[in-house]
Amino acid sequence: MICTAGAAAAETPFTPWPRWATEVGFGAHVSQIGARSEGGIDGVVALAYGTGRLQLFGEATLGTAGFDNTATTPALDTSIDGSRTWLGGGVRWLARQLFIERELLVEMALHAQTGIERYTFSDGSKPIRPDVAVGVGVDIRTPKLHQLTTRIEVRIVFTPNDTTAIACRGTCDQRASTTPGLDMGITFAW
Amino acid sequence: MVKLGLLALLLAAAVAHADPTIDRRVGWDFAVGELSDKTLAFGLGLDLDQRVAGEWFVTAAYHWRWTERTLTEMTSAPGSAQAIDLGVRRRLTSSHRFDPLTFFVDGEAGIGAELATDDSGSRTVPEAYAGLRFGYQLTEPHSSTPQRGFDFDFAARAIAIDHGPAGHAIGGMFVMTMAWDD
Repeated sequence: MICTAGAAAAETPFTPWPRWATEVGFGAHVSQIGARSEGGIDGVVALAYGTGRLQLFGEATLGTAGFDNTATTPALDTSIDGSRTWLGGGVRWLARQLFIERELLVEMALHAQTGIERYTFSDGSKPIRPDVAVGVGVDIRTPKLHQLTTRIEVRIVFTPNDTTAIACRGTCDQRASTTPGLDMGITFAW
Repeated sequence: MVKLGLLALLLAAAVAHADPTIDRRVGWDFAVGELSDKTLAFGLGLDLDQRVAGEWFVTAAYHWRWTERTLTEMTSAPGSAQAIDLGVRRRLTSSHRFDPLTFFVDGEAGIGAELATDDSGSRTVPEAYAGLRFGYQLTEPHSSTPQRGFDFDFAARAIAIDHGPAGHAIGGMFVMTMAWDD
């Protein structure tokens, strides 16, 4: 399907990414640490370099993180709150592009990224783990007006399976070597 | 039989190219729903729709799903699933009143297979779906664009998953799709 997405590009040239772009926004993530799900809200800043249909980017996020309560009575509350910092980078590729009235671009971009995330939880634990992600998004861009862009992206994130103390508050899951998660964001670039 | 099949394909291709409207679209979707009474799902998908004849399209999709299966009132088990679906989609009605926007309602149905992994292990199970899509298509008449149109639609879907000995489950999903037209 991704190959098909590339095939149609040969006829009319794509409007390239801007050479440099700054990006801010917010997002949300959900992931798995051990046998428990963890999630939070993130703030996003990024800097991107574009060349043709490829765009390289470096990105940092800072946000909340937390485990839901897994106890069956409020007196045994096991919820844990904290923060999450992510630093990484990746590449974005223009797969589809519609140029409306030669003023507005509506684009589909595929992306892959990798980075390191660090959690700080209220019980004192600070797990650190790398991740790899692939995703897709839609950009609405004004090429004649400072390359203003509104971007919505969703990605699937893979992290190594975690068996540290905090992760094993639930039942540790040793079946897979990686655990998946979902990450999405709405950002504005110029 | 092979000759008949080739002839049918040729006719379908001829019909598709005789029609000035969009023949193929590629896009992605975000889905939220309940796969059963105990499993919530959030999904990301890649979609390919190809017109085969008239108002009929064949569809292929890959979906990745984050799942949360309820264990007790306050606890749940996270998991994930991957699914491949093949289906058909037919335009039921459309309006060109707000040209270049075309508002439409499509009916769709399909079958597929899901590989699910959660606290009870991994399993491959068949699935089937049927639903309605409501959306609009924006077409661009100028030739200076790589794609000719953009579709945005919402689908309300009933999805049936066979969990084997655990029984069948019928759930519902809302799917938001953005697709680019060739």
